[in-house]
Amino acid sequence: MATSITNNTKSKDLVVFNIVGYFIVTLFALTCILPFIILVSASFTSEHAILNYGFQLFPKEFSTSAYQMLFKFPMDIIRAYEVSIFITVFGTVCGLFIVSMTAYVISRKDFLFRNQLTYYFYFITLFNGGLVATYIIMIRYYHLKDNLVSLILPFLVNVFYLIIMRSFMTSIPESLGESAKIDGAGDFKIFIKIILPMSKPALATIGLFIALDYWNDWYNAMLYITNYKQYPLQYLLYNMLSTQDALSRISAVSNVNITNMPLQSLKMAMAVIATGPILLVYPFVQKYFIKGITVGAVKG
Amino acid sequence: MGIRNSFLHEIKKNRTLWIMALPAIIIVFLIGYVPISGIVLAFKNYNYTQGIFGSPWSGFDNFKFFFLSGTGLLVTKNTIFYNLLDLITSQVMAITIAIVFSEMTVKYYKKIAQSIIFLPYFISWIIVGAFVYNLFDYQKGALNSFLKLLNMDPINLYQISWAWIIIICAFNAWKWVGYTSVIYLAAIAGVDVQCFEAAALDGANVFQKIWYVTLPGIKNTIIIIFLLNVGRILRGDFQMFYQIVGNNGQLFNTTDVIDTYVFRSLINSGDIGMAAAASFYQSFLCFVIIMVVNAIIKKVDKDSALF
Amino acid sequence: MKKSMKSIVLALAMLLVLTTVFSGCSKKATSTQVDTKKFVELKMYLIGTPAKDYDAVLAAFNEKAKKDLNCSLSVTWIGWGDFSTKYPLILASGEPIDLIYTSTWTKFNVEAAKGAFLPLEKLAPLYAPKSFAAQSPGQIQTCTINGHLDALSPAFSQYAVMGYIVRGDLMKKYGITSIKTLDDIGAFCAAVVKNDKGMDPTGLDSQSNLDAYQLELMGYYGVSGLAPFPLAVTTDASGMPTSTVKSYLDDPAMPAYYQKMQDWANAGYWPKNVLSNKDTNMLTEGTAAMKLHNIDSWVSASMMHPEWDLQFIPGYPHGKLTSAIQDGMAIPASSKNPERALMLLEKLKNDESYYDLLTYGIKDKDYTLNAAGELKATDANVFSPEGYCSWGFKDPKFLKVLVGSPANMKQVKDAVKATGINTPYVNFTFNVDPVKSQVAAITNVMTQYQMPLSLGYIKDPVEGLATLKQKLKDAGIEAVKAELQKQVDVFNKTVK
Repeated sequence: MATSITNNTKSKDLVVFNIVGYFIVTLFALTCILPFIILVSASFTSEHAILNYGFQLFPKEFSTSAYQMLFKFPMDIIRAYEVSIFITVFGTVCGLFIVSMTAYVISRKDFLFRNQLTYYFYFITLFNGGLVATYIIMIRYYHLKDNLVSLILPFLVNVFYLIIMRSFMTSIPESLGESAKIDGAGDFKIFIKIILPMSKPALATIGLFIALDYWNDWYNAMLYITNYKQYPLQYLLYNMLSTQDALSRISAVSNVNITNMPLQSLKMAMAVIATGPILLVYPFVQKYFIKGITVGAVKG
Repeated sequence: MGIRNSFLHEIKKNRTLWIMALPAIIIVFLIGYVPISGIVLAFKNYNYTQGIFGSPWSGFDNFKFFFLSGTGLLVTKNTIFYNLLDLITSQVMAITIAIVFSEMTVKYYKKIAQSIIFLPYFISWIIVGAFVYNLFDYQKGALNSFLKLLNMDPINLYQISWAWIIIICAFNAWKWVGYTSVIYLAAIAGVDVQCFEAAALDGANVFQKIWYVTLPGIKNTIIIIFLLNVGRILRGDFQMFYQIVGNNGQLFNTTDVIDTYVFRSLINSGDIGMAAAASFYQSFLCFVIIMVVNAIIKKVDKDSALF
Repeated sequence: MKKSMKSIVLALAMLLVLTTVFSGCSKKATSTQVDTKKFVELKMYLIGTPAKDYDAVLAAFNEKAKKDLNCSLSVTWIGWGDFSTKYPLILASGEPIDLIYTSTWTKFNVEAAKGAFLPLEKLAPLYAPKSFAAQSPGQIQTCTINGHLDALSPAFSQYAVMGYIVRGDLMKKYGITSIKTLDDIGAFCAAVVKNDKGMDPTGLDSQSNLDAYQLELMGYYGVSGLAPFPLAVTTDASGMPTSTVKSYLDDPAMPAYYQKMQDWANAGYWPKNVLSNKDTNMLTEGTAAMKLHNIDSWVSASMMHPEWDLQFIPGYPHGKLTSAIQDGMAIPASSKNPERALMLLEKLKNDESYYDLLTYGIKDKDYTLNAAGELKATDANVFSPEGYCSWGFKDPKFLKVLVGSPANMKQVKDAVKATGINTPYVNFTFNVDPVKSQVAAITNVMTQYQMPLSLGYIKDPVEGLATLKQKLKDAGIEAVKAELQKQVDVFNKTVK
């Protein structure tokens, strides 16, 4: 009897929750997908239509000229894809491993200097030496010009992710590690065999973020890569987008007059091509965000 | 003597842990600490041939431009204001959406919606800037076209300063909520399932479950994210402000942040020292603020603090 | 808090250690014995993006360079979007670079004052004698900063004037036969608004407004090379600049001018949101009836759309000689082979075969010359003539006329030359270092308060002008004015 009453109250609240919840999410999702649809549509619109009618949901004048222009020199794009994929995969695997390993160390309550070590890492996010010093060090002392390592190194240890990962790991019960220690396992083994499997959602999250950092980075490429054969995809895109911005700024004060400026639709097409692949990665990562993975393993 | 002994003792005891942390320690040292001496540029009159260490000291000269004509304080206030506002709105939205997703049962909808809300993260601010212009342009913008359809007068949004607080906040949330909600989703996934089962047995409804189990379960994550953002409270998202506001001087008093202000001021002087000074100012204030906030949090709940 | 104190001390200690370690490594420019028997690889930095077949062009170039000078050239490009960040970085990094493009807008005088470039006054006469001799004393003066000649400018000076590039076909349509004054422009815009509703009459974007023209019309001459900037020297009746530095905003004609701008804005001569518009190509895209720019812009636009019969109307009566360092080539202080670099530069500026390669491409592949010596590019998408930062070493004797230039181009250029002002000020560079803080603050004030005012967006222009002037005062304009006046006076003494 009591169960049926609670069932009724529960389902009423659930209905309200669901209606409100689905409504908010749908509304928000719409605001998210509309600009993207416009972006894709613009990439398939003729330049003339964009200039005269602005951005529309559906191409007013369908045209693949932007993509044709992009693929006229496909080697540039393919090469950039290769560079980006390599950096992303390699950097993410290494970075995720190092970050999770370090996060485990600073999450261990019996690690006496964990706060000091965290402070050591965190301090560097507050103060940095500035662009000039960093650039000089990377180029002159580490000799990393035109070297892909210069693109991988900066994102290997993201202190924010480190701290977030630490907070995920502190929620893993210590008793798990302790009972393993009693069984004779070393710290590293505990990390690999117990902590990592229990941190799947955290690893998926941070792994995704690190991958995105690598995939979207153009800044480091701008600074350290001068050989166009080593440009990552995003830098290629950024170049086109920022050229127009910069030229409008200096054309006012110079005699510079460049006629081959990237068209609006070309910019959009480039953006679509640069984003595409990573979107395919996300669904794979989603399955780790299922509630209920963590079951109390310390029963009894 | 005692401290040194315990340090060495500690290293021996947790030898493996220290070795595990070593790669990160080295990398951070190479990337972060080695160049940190560049901070002195803020106090020097940089000369290319004399380099960073040979250039003459110039005291606080490089900071002067920031505070001349009082704009420096105004943009500092704006930066903190926007960061706080954006922090609160986007985190609240992200948490809400994460919780809603975690309670959703329709798998297909969940997966698709999750992917969709992530999309804005990929659209660069340069393109967003173009969208904003297309939305709010007086003559041809979508907003005014819509108003004209309803037989209403078109608005020149670029004259209404306060509207941009909302616009910037909205765009910021739009861009980041999908991304941030992933963190909270992972945090919710990490809450012990038994707690939820217990709540169900006790007859809790959805709202009670969220309030008494889910939220406390991710409390640590919420606080950490909050702290991490507070530590960056003096740093504005340059691209966001620059692309959305652009050169609209009329909006500067309301929308200018430190990063855009410094960028604009240094277009003609391009002075390395002055740029370094502005950055140092931001770093120093962030440092003071996070130290204070962290200390407060530590008093309240020792385990939730950053360090 | 004690813990954080310890950490601060630790950080400072590290800083001190690193300081002493790195202070040992300072930069010195070395001069080696020039030995053309040794093969040398020269490195040149240019701004922009390379042509699609630039590699082929460089290969052909290096064939010649190896034969004649026993050296080869490699070019590294700094993108348009990056140069403001990267240019100073590259100079600061001490990476050995042998040649670099420099200009007023890459802030030549700021970089040179900070020791970025190698002094050339002793080397240039030895290793680039023809180029050095071709420099007029005025050009040398412009490129001399703090007593050192830091760049070689092209032996090229033209009278340049900014003006209005107007659609001639629309003028005909409205029955407007000639446009000469600002009010004529206004009349044209009114006609556009009336007859071609969707078209943007003036084609202004977020960086342009009419103040620069107004300045000239009211009798001022901009000496600072900075933009936006309120200080200039006054000119006399014939247009020759005097030696008095003033703020053009104080001119009695300004309030009425800003009122006119507001009237124009309200009449719809430009859209309400010009300040957010980053598009500078509206004329050539067909969405605007006019563009405010220079003669070269007019020429290239005419080549793109001959059917529009584009007209060029100067914005003010007197053209000016372009600054000697509007384009130039410099040798960074880090160069290891300055002598060889100068020899290569000498070839570029004096040997047509070298010049043509980097400026126009490979003959008969990238371009063809017709009987009249006019040049036609084979495919501008593959190699666009003069499009690859070759302006640093351009030379009037090698510059080719491009096929399709407007018929009256020579006429227009001659007219500008005839009314041009040849003033020694063209060689003056304003060293902002003593007042750099104020200049930074002023730059910001001008962007924030002057730009909306000059576009007529401020409700009460008179009040807006007063606010602008007050803000400039707070930013320290008096100090900058005094400094500029001081430098102008010193400069004038050396000229006499």
